[in-house]
Amino acid sequence: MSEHPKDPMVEPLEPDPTPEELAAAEALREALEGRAPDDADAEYARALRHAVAPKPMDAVAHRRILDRVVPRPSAMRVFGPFLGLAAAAAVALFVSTSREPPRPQPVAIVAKSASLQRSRPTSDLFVAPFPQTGETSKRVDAIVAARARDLRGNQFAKWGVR
Amino acid sequence: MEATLPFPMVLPQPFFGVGMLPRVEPRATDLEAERRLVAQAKDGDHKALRVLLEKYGPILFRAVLLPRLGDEARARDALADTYAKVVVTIARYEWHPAGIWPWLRTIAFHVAIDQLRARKRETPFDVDDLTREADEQRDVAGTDVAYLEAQESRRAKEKIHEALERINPRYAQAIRLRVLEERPREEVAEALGATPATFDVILHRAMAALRKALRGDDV
Repeated sequence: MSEHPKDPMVEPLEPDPTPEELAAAEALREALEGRAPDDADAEYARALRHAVAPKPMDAVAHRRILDRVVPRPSAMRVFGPFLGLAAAAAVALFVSTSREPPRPQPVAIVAKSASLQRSRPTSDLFVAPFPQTGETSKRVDAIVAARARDLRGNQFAKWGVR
Repeated sequence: MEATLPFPMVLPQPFFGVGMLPRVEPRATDLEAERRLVAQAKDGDHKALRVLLEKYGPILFRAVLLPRLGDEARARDALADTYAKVVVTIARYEWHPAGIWPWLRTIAFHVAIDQLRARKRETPFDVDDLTREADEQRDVAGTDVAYLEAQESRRAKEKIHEALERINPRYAQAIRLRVLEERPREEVAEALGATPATFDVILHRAMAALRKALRGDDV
């Protein structure tokens, strides 16, 4: 570190720091300033601070721990029986509806399936013919768009969507 | 029947360390209220147990666990473990006239000791320290949370301050200003009459010296 050498105007650093000390000092500085993860020294430094000036626990964090370990007396005690009845009713409804015979598929959907677009040659995709030369990219784009339209239409037809 | 005092009695206590700490005798009414809560909690009343933990939990965290474990996340985990043990063992707890605090702190200390045993990195407090403290401070009791917090955190602070007194004064000042008071690096460097880069090395050496002092090694 170029700024390190002993400054004769201030109390000298004895003995001269080793490269390892310089690296460790730099790492500690970076960690304390939040620019690097804590190394052992920085972790120790924070532990010292917690020993001398511990911060109070965050109230929300405390409540969360308490709720996790000692659940609040739940509303189940009061509403439990009603919830039980509601659950039983829901089960009964589900069972009764599941016993109904399946609805027949609407004829319209089958009819729509019959109107799917079949694969066409490129020449049938457009009304006006393409120029014989040039504009290759434009031609390819138009073909892609037309095929995509056909595909989309077939998907909607299968889903019964107009 | 004992007469109930209308106010807590403040008794002087010999000075042991940082500041005079008057011992506050718990009021009979406070202890009786606590005894009733404990009886309900022992019977499985979670609401009563929550009242007790809401009162003493923050002190367990701030004055017992955080200073000794040195890390907020670990201290929170330790508090959760402490609560879990309390839930499991409260039914077997026998009421003590000093209140429930000694029992709670003992559980917290044992949880902290287990955590320290599992730690790889060195910390200012080790397992022996906590074992000694768990035994020595059994007379810390009562229902006054401010008193309990002051008593519990006093020992942790004392250990650090005593170790700082044993190392080079310049090193001690570097740690007090930069680490404990969190003053900016440049400001502390100037206070010590050093360049910032020189101060970085001073702080590193100071930390090494303090570690030795806290371990009980010669400095």
